[in-house]
Amino acid sequence: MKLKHLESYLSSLPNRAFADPKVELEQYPTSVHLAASIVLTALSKNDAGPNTTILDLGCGVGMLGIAFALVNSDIVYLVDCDEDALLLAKENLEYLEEEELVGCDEGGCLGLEIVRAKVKYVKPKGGTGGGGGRGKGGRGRGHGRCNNGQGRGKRQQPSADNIQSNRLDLNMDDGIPLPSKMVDTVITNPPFGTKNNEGIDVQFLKTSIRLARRSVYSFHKSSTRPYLLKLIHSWGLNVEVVAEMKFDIQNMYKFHKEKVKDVEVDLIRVFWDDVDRQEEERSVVARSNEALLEESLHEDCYSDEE
Amino acid sequence: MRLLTHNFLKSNVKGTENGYPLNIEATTLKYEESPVNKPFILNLLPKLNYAAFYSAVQQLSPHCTEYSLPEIPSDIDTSNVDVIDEETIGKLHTWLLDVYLVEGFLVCPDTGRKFPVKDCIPNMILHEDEI
Repeated sequence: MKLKHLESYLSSLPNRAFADPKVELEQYPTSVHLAASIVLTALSKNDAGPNTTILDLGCGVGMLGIAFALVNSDIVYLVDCDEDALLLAKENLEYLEEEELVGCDEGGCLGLEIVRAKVKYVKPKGGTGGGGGRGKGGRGRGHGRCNNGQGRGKRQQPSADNIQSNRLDLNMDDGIPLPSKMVDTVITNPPFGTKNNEGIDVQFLKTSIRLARRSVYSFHKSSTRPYLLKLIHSWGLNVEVVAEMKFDIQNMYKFHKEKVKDVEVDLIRVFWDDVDRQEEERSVVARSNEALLEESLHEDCYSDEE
Repeated sequence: MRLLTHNFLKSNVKGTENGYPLNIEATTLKYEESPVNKPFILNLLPKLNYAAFYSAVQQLSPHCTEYSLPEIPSDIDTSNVDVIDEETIGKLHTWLLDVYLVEGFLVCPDTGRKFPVKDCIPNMILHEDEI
């Protein structure tokens, strides 16, 4: 599927943004172009498409999960805590079914499943130990380049002690009532943790890692990159930054004084060591995906500029 | 919600030991036939808790008489999926993917806590005092 086709399907969804976004949940819409680009990236790494199962954690109206469904991932689970967002997501699914975009073709996506559940978040003591967005810059604030997390005023990099205490426990009760390693790939656009909830992005990441067998795609403010990469390596996992982008956050909330804010954001991919073996097993799928990819490769998959 | 998802869901309300499998109180069900994806079913079977799935089918069957849905075997060796015949795969597909719990409750087997299902969406959110 070409990028523009994917974008056109996503653009036709009845609900692409939140009707009444909730500040405390950091509900920002995911753009059609971004969702489509990420899915094509995931497809190129065999993390999406036929013979894969997907979970979108903190799905909102479902834009990312739906994009994964449209490239014929076997099944997509949408998980969010907000009933209003999920009802909008449900309308989107009904549209996909009516248009016979899911659940109808042999070998196509078997549909999407919605579960309402909430990631358990405990605020770290003393304001350290979290990775996301400490300091004053909210999502929707950061300006200019920030290559290594330095030079952003009084922001401090967390010490090694914090990393040590921020362990990954795959048996943790994280509030999500689903088993570990339930799906191949988890995609999450977590809250960045700037609304008095620092570290919530790391909690989303941990839960995503628990639920995935193969890979996790997650968004994080670029300013937290050095901390985050170190943290993920300390968990014995591999990580790569697959895209750098700017989020255009519209003037949605009253506390945004300027009209449009650019925030530097990384899309990271966490993956497991035995990924090579899995890739071998999946080479058949890969070959069938290659055809899809060839169509889209020359198209820009990495920027979110409209 | 389909039984595919029910098979993964558990209750994590305070005081629960396993919280699994959730019992089903069905108010409204929906049946929609879809094409069978055999590789998907065969991939899924080793991960499926078959006993929980079978029990769920037994709980839903009395509410589905109008659709004359197939019966499924009470046990399947999920470690050797290659010997499972096409007909059985079709039956499993029907119950895993074509039957939807639209309205009803999922009930925690340990505490009796009822999780409501509305518009096909199970609500697993816990109250403050249940965490």
